[in-house]
This record gives sequence, C-alpha cells and structure tokens, in this order.
Amino acid sequence: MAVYTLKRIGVAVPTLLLTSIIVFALMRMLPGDVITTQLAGDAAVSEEERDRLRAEYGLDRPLVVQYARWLSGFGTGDLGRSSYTGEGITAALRRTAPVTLQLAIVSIIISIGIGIPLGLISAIARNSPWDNVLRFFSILGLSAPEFWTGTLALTFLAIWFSWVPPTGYRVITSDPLGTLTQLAIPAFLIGYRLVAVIIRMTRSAVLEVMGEDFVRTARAKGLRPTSVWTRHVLRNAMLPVITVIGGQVLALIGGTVIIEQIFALPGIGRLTLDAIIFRDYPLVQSIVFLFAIAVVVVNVVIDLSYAYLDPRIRYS
Amino acid sequence: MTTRGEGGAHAAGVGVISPSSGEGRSIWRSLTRFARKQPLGTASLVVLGLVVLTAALANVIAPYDPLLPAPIERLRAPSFSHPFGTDEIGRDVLSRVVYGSRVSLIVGFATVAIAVGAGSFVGLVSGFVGGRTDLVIQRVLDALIAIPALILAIAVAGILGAGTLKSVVPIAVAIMPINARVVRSTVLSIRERQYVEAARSTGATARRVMLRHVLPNTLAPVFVLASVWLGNAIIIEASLSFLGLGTPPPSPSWGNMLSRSGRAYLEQAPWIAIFPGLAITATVLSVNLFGDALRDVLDPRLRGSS
Repeated sequence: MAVYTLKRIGVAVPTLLLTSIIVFALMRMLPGDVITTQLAGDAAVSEEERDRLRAEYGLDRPLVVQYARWLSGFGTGDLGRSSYTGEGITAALRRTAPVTLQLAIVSIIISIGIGIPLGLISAIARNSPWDNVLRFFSILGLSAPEFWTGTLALTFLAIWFSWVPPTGYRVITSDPLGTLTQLAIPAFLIGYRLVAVIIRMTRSAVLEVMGEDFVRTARAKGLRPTSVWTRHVLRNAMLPVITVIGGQVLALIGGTVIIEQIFALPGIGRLTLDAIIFRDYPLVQSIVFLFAIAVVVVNVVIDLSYAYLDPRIRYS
Repeated sequence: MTTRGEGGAHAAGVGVISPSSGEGRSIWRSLTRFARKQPLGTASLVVLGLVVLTAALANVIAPYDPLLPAPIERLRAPSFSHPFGTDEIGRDVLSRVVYGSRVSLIVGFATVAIAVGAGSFVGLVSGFVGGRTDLVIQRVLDALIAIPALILAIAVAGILGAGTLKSVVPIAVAIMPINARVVRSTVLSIRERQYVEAARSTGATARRVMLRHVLPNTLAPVFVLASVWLGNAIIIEASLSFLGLGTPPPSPSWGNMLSRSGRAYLEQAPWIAIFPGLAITATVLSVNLFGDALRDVLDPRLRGSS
C-alpha cells in the first residue's frame, strides 16, 4: 500500500505542475497585461503610474520569476493581491472556500442518500415500470441545466412561500440550522444532477456483479437473499460507484459557480465569476489552479481508497 | 444472446452511422429495425429533427421579430397571440426561443465537431504510437482534465470575450481532453485485436493499420460519446450565455434569456424563464435519450444488462 501511495502521488505532482504552467500561460495569452486590461479606457493614468503598478504586481520581472513566485505562494500562503479589489488573494479564498465546501458536502450527502437506494431499486426491479421511470428521471437530471432549475426554484419559492435567499451568509459553527436551511435548496439542485449519475452507475454496477460466479455460488450454497445482497453484491458493486462519485465532484464544482450566483452565496464559485467579469486575472489564475488542486487531491484519495478496498489494484 | 442478434444490431448501427456504406433498401430496413427496437430513441430523434428544423426555418416559424420591443405589450402572460408570453420590454418569448435554437445548435454542433475531431486525432496518435509520445500526451491531458470543464470554459471565455462563435473555443477546449482520453483507451484495446495483428503481419504500414483498421473501429464509441458531448456542449453554451460570457444580448439565446435583464421580473412573469429552459431541457433530453438508444444498438455487450 505504501508503494502504491507513493506511486500515485508521484503521478499527481507532475500533473499539477503541468496544470499550473497551463493556467499561468493561459493568463499570459491576454493582449497586453493585467495593468492595460484593468486601466483599459483610463487615459488619465500616466505611463509612470502604469510602470509603478507593474512593479507592484511583479509584472516587470521575467516570466519564469513571476511563475516561480506565484507557485511558491501556494506554499507560503502569499498569492499576491486581487487587481480589482486589492484584497489579498489568500484572504479572499479563506473567506469563500468554506461556503463552497459546505455546499459541496451537503450536495454529496443528499445525492448519495437518494441515488444509491434508487439505483438499487432500479437494478432489483430492472425492466419494470419503476426501472423505466427511474431511468427517465435520471436522464432528465442530466438534461436540465442548473441555472434553469435554480432560477425556477427561486422564482416559485418566492411566489408560493415568499421565500427569498438571505443576503448574509450564516456560519455553520455559530448557526448550524440557519446554514442548513440556507444550503438545502441549492445543495439539492446540485445534488439532483449527481443523483442522476449515481442511479445509473449503481444500477449497472449491481447488475454486473449479480452476473458474477461468486454470487451464483453464494446463492447455490443456500445463503439468505439479504446476506447475498449485503455481503456479496453490494460490497462489490459499491467500488465503481465510489469512483463515479469522486469523478462527479469535478462536475459539481463547476455547478457551484452557477448555483452560488443564483442563490447569492458568497462562495468560491461567485468569486470566480466576479474575478472573470472584472478581469481580475491574478485572482482568476489562483482560483483556477486551486480548483485543479482540489480535483487532483480528490482523485488521489479515491484511487487510494479504491486500492485499499480492492487489493488487486495495488499489485497490478 | 445469439450471434445472429449481434450481427443484426451491428448492421443497424452501421446503417445509422454512415448511410453511404449500404444500399437504399438496407438503410430503410436498419431504420425500421431501430425504430422498432428503440421507440424512445426514435421519438427523441424526431424531437431533435424538429429542433433542427426550427433553427433552420426560424425566420418562417417565429411569429414576431425576436429583437423588436413593444412597450405596451410588456410582461404579457401566455395567450393566443403570444403563446409563450412577452418579456420585460414586450418582445415575444416564443420568437426568441425559436431564434435561440440557432445559437444552441450551431455552437453545440461546431463544438462537438472540433472537440471530437481534435480529441480523436490526439487519442488515436497517443494510443497507437505509444511509448514516450503517449506518456507526454497523457500527462498534458491529465493536466487539462484536472481543471473542471465549466471553470476552464469560463476562464477561456473570460479571456476571449463574449460572443456566439467565440464561445465555441472554450467549450471545445473543455471537452476535447476527455474525448481524447476515451479514444485512446479504445485504441489500446483495438490495437491488441487479432485482425490488427493480421494486418501487420501481411506487411501493412503503420499508417495504413492506423487509418484502415484501428480508426474505423473507434468510430462506434466515438459516435455514442459525441451525443453525450453534444448535450454537454449545449448546456455549457447556455450556462456561459447565462453568466454573460456567451452570446451577448439583445440577440436571443436560451441561456441569456434567463440572465440578468429578465430576472428582476420573474415573480410577475415566470414564463420568461420557463420556456427557454424547457427548450434546453427537451433538446438535451432528446440528445441523451438518443445517445442511450444508440449505445444499446452499437454495443451489443450492454444489451443484456439493459
């Protein structure tokens, strides 16, 4: 396991370095630089002032130095300042990350709680009307865009219950119930897409395992059906489902941008959009890379848990 | 499952993909066979056909000018003269939805063509050549996949600026690496098949083996995936437009019809939001259902389980 862990991390680190180079290069593809973009129409700002700003943001240094400085910022915690608000980037991330993280966790809990049982029903009663309804429901979940379901939820909650999302964000440690009521609907909307994926994956994984020889053996030797289900089918079917859930965290992170925008949640998703709209490229650069770090870390954790649960992977 | 059944399904699939490969009669037979076996898939294909027709004939179908404001008609509920109602400056929502289909379809198909074309090329080369080339390509793809698709699309769109055709690039960039990854894994398994070995042993050049033996056999999975990407591309395009990074107003797109301008009036006029979203959902749902049916037909292994 230790060897496998090291190997897996050994692949993740170069991947992240490459991602950081791609993100850094992407932000350098802008015509001009951050300062020209920021002060686009502002002729009143003199060339000396611009040079001073460039020096302040370190833009007068060679690209390699700028890159090294930026990347080391993820270690030291000094990522520089937002070019629009002037707020420290690390501080902005610290302020917004917990909101998004809570939203993501609640979404995942909701989607697992609904998705796995429904996927099981779909597999057990396969090709029945129930199965068809569930399959349709899950494909529907993949087809309805979040900005639409979010907008409709907001509109009809306002019309029917006069509910509007609270403007200030409540911190979970001081007001757990308030946080949950604030997060429940957005999390459910993000979770619905996840539910769709989990139902489909659970269904096909369970069906595949049910066809295995060891399940037939378990049945043949007279085990009780519940025992066959819990100890033989479910245990083996959950592995691919875990992988899919992990993979979907990726898609989910993207969805938070939209849902946070609609429900006025001050999370990273909203920070990202503001940064893009105000052309705050130093901030965009750090956020995009932070998302990549999160994705890679999640993937490593999934692979490791997979290897832990299934020894065959460790030795292949 | 009988061998005959598999062969039939395969023939039906080939007929669907490239009508030029068979004669007229066998295409018709394949189509009726597809319709009988996959009623849901056929229905969704019909819906898709209608959407394409709507986009093509938007100027004929739309009852009003989608850009023309009519202040006295503002925020009218759906009625006989305005089946989908009117928006906050009195534009006909139906006409805007009809014209909006153009943006979704043009961007959707263009994106998929670029992403699938480029992704398949990269995946084919990576999987077929192998060795160090494969290693380098895979690491770069890993690095790109590490950035969530929508975030990558938003960042690239932010750099390029808003615009209907400009939004093709960020979406294609976001989808391409995933497609390349899938094509590569298909190529890896096909490379080991006996017919590839047979072709090699008869002295076929690497290029010939790649283009004549490996490439055609990756088409079925690529075609199924293309339908998944099309659905994704339409949703990402609409999301970008919604966020103000895709098609800029006043041109109607299904995404920007739900963005800022109309949002303030939603409580009085929910139809402004309902119909464009319904159009997206119906279109993407059809694409997904059709893709599902296609997979059932093209991949006989899955038929036992579904």
